[in-house]
Amino acid sequence: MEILIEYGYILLIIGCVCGFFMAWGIGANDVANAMGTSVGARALTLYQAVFVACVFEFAGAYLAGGEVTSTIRKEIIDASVINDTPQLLVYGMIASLLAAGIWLLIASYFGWPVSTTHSIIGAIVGFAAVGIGFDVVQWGKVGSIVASWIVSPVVAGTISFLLFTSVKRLILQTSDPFMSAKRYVPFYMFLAGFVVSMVTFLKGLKHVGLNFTASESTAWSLVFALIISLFGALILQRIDNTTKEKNGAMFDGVERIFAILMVFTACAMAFAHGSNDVANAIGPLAAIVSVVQSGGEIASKSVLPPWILLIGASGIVIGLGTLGYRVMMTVGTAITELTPSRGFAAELAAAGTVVIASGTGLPISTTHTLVGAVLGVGLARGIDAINLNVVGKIILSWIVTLPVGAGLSILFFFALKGAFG
Amino acid sequence: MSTDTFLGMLAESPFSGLQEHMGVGNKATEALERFIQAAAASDWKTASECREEIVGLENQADDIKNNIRNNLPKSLFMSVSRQDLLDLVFTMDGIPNAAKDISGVMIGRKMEIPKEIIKSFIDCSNAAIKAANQASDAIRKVDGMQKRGFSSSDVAALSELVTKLEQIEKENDEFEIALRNKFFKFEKEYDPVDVMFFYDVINKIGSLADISQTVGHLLVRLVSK
Repeated sequence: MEILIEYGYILLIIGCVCGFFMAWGIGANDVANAMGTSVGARALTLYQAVFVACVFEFAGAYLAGGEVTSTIRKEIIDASVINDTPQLLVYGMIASLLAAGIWLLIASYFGWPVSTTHSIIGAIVGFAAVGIGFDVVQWGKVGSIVASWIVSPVVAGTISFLLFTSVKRLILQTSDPFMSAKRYVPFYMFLAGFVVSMVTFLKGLKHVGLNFTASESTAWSLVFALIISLFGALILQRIDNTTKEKNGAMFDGVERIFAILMVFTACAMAFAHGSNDVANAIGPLAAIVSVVQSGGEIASKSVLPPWILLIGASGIVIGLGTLGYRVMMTVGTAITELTPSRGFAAELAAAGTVVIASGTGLPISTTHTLVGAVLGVGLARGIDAINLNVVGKIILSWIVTLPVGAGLSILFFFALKGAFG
Repeated sequence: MSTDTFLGMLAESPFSGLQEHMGVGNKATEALERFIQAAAASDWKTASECREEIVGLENQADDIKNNIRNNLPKSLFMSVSRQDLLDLVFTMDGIPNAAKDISGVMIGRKMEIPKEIIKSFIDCSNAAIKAANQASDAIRKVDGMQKRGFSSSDVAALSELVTKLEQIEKENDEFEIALRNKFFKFEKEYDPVDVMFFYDVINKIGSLADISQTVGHLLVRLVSK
C-alpha cells in the first residue's frame, strides 16, 4: 500500500505513457490491416482512408470500446487474490503494455503479421500466472477468449460466404447487374449501418450518460440504418454504367457501385477495429488507474473514466498519422486482386463479427477475423487464388505471439518489482 | 515498419495469364490462315513471313504457359481446380504448337498443294482454324464468369459454346474425309514422298480441330463444380 502512495503518480504516468505507446503501435500498424481492404480494392484513396480511420476509429474506441476494456481490465485476473499486494497488478499491467508494445514494434519492423490482441492477452496471462500465481488467472475467461479467436474467423468466413453468395444471386448473375446493384446495394449499406449503430446504442452510450433499452436501441438503430441506406442510395444515383478509372484501377459500373458501398463498410470496419482494439491499450491502463486512484483498492466498481478512452483513441489516431499511413501506402500500391464486390463482403462480415464481439466484451483479432472473411469469399468462388502458405504464416505468428508476449511481460514484471519493491 | 498486411494472402490471379495465352494462340491461328492462303498461291515470301510470326508466337505462348505453371504452387486455394486449370493451359498450348507444326512441314518442303484439291484443302484448314477461334471465344468468356463468381448459368452458356465447337469439329472431319477421298483418286500422279507429307499435314490440321474441341471440354470441367 505504501508503495502505491509513495510512487502512485510516477506509476500512473508510466502507465499512461505505456498505454499511449501501445495505442500508437496499434494505430501505426494494425489500422493498416483494417483499412487495407478498402485501399487495396481502390475504393478509398490513402488520404480518404486515413480520414475515415481517424474519425471512425476514434468513434468506435470512444463509443463502443468500453466492454472489451472492462474484460481486459478486470476479468482475466482474479484481483481478490492479491488484495494485499495491489502494486503487483500495477507492475504487471505496465509490464504487459510494454511487452505487447515492444513486440508489436519488433514484429512490425520485420514485417510479421502479429495480432495486438494476442500479444496483450498473452502478456497479461504470462505475468499473472508466472509472476503472481497460477490461480490468479481466471482460466475459464481466458479459455472463452481463446475459443473466440477460433470462432471469430469461422463466423466472419460464414457471413462473408453468405454475403458474397447473395451478391452473386441478386446482382452479379442477373441479366442487368448494374440495375440490380443499384437496387440491392443500399440493403448492404443498411446492414452495415444497423450492426454498428446497434452495438453503439446497446453498449456504447452508457458512459456518455444515455441509457437505452433493447427495444429502444433496436428502433433507433433501424432509423439510423435507414437514413444511412437512403443517403447511400442517393449517392448511387450519380453512378452511371461506364467503365472508369478509379485510384489507378479500371472499374465497370457495377464495381463502381460496390466501391461506394465499400466506403460505408470501411467506416464500419474502422469503427469495429476502434471498438475492439483500443481496449488492448487502455484495458491495462484502466486497471492501473483504478488501483492507483483508489489508493490500492483493487475490486473497484468505479466505471471507466472517459479520459482513458480518449488517451487510447487519440493514441491510435496519432499512430495512424505518424506511421500507419505509410503502411497503408504500400497496400495501396500493391496489385489489386480484391475488387470492391469481393472486398466489401469480407469487410462487412469482419466488421459485423468484430463489432458484435466488442459488444459482448470479447477481445478478438481484427486481422484474423478479416483473414477468415476473405477465405469465406474464396469458398464462394469469389477470389481467384489465395495463398495458403501466407495464411499458415499468419496463424503461426498468432501462436508464436502468445509465449513471446508472456515471456516479455514476465521479464518487465520482475524488473519493475525489483525497482519499486 | 511492416510492409506486410494480411492482404499478402491474395495471390496473383492465374486467369489473366490464361487470357494472355489465349490471345497469343489466337494470333498464331490467324497467322496460320494467312500462311495457308499464301502457300496455296505459292507465295513463299509471304508464307515465310507468316511462318516467322507463328514461330515467335509459339515461343511466346510457351513462356506464358511456363509462367502460369510456375505461379501455381500446390498451396494455392483457388476458385477453380488447379489440376483442371493446368490441364487446360497445357492443352491450349497445343494450338500454337499445331500452327507451328503445320507451317513447318509445309514451308520445309515448299509444299505445292495439288491444284485439284486446293479449295477442299483450304475449306478443311479453315474449319480447323474456326474451331480454334471458337475455343478462344469460350476462353474469353471465362473472364466475365470469373467476375460473376461462376454460376450454373455460366456452365450452361459454356456448354452451348462447346456444342457449337463440336459441330465445327465435325465439319472439319467431314471436310477432311472429302479431301482424302478426292486426293486418293489421283495421289499416284504425285511423288510418293510428297504425298506422304501431304497426308501428314492433313492429319496435323485435323488434330488442330481436335485440340480445340478438347479445350472446350476442359473449360466446362474447369468452370463447373
